[in-house]
Amino acid sequence: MPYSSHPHPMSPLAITHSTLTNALGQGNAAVFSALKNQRSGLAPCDFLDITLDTYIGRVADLEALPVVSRLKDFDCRNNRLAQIALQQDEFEIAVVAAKARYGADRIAVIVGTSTSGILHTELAFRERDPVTGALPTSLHYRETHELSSAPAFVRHYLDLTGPMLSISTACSSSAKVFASAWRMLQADLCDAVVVGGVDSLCLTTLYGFASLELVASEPCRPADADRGGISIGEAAGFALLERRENTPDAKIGLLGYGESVDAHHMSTPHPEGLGAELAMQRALDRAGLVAGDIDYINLHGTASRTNDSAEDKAVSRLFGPHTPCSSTKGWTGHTLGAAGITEALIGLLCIEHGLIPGSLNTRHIDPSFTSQIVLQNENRPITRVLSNSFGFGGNNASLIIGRLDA
Amino acid sequence: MNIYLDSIGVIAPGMANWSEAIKTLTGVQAFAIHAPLPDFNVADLPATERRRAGKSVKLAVDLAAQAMASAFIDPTLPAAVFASTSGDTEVLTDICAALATDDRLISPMRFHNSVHNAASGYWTIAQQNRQPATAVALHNLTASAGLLEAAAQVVAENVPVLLVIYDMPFPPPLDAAEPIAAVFGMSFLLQPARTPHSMAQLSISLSMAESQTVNVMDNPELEALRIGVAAARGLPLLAALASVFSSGLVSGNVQTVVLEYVSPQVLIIAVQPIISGEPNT
Repeated sequence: MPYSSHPHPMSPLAITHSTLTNALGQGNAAVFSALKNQRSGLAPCDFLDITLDTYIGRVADLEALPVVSRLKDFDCRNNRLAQIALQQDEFEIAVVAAKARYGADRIAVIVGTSTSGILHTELAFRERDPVTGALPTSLHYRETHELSSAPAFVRHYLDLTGPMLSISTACSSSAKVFASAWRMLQADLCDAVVVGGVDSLCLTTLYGFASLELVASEPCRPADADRGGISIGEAAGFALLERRENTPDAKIGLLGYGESVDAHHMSTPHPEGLGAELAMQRALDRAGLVAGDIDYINLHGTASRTNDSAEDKAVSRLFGPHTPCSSTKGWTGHTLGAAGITEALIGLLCIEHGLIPGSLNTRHIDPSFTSQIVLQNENRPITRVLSNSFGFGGNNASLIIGRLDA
Repeated sequence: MNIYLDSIGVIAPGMANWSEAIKTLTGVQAFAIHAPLPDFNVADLPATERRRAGKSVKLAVDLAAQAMASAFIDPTLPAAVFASTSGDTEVLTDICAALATDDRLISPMRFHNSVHNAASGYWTIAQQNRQPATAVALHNLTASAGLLEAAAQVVAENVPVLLVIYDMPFPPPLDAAEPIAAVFGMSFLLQPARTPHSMAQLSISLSMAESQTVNVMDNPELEALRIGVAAARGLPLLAALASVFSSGLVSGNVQTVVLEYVSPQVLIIAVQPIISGEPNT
């Protein structure tokens, strides 16, 4: 019973509430306003004492906004970012209402992150005891850095007592939270799921991607003939997922998801986009849709040479030359473990407001590309968005977000 | 959730595989937490990948190989769940140390080996397996979380799933901030329906903790392993399976194992051994 030969459609999940915080601002309205007005969140790197020649998508004011005092052991940049996101768009109120409906023990928390609060540990290493090498005792590894730091913080912050999981598959992490949520609901382990993605700026990813020569010295230019690499950003996003029968008024939901791996290379995508194509095809199969049903594709579109080229080939094979595609990483930067949910929820905002965002910063589309890369924003009603997220380890996930009544 | 267990792999101090683990878990063989770790085999990795892989990848890939070999399944078929609290603790420590130096240089290979899904990446490359693969964590509850994620995938997607649960200690100085007592790992091949290789049916559910007592290990050394390593919190499940399969005479009795899960919930696993030739129920 392999996945590829088992494409039975799934029951859609309602996305009853959602919220986004990233370099474009705090909350959905700020993020959408930047998209609509083509205002990028990328700026020259001014993070800590880092001297890399690059642009970053930084969330303002995190340094001044510690986590609530009852959870002070969890205080780190990553959980500060999670907390700010949870405080937007009346998300907490929505969770309180869901608790009243289902009970706190029937609401799961699933969060994707690639590096969790590693910055906290990186900085602790600067303060090692010169004689013993010991780290300062102020390092709360479990609460700030271990991969369950963010979901545990979110679960405590929202006073939930249901199942919990941290997913860490590099840049597909917070796309895969939707798949795990669907399975958890299908297995009746819970009645609702708070899914999220949180990743924050740190030295590991900035210097790590620089070591791979994947970091651009200008704001990233996805799908551009002269693209020079990625711009790293930080972000958090959360969504409340419920069964459709419990939320008859819900308008937009998760229609499908597809997961795959490339089985090719640890840090380079399959050159023909084989795994990417599998993930998109599985998402279509899950949704019971065909390629022509998708109105807009939010590309992974990191602006690395290899990703954009492989993704273009995969998209072209499945969708041909007419489905509008763009990457929104020119706005937010590549938010790594938070990219999956950030871009899925950008897709949700685009459906709500009727917008196909153009690929910001892209000047000349790579002449070898055959998919329909759009450069200008276009205002028109759309029903279904496919969002791609691909990561190291060849780990791929595609999500389809769409109107439930279409 | 009802799933079928087709194979078991184990790597631990003094235990190189499931048959050695049976002896230890049933008291036939003594256990010492500081016993030497078996050598890694990593026969499944091509030479290039073997050179690039860190210790946690070798551990996880060998665990995967054990589960695949005794389940007699095409390695391109199962989806995979890799569960570990902190993944490659040596790579993480090296990177944090390098980033505290003046030049802050980290090697590209060390960077890609630092992702939590490194083991799943290496394993899927080696097997040319393009099924969904995930990497999860939940601190001390990682074993339960991995089992729950894998079981939900088996049931909801109706596919076989390879589950690998593994941990290794941090070197200094992070060992003080996050003590992990030993290297430990276990692996399972889980099926949605009974196969000729099925050893047991596992019925997995969540329950509120007040009414349930979490299983512990009777042997103090094994209990120290259970407490000291997140992956080893699943030992009571292995102990129940070992007691069933130790004598060669498989007992048909159901054993119920209670594992810790996120407070106030616990994970309940009813183990129903399958006696060869018994009709599918």
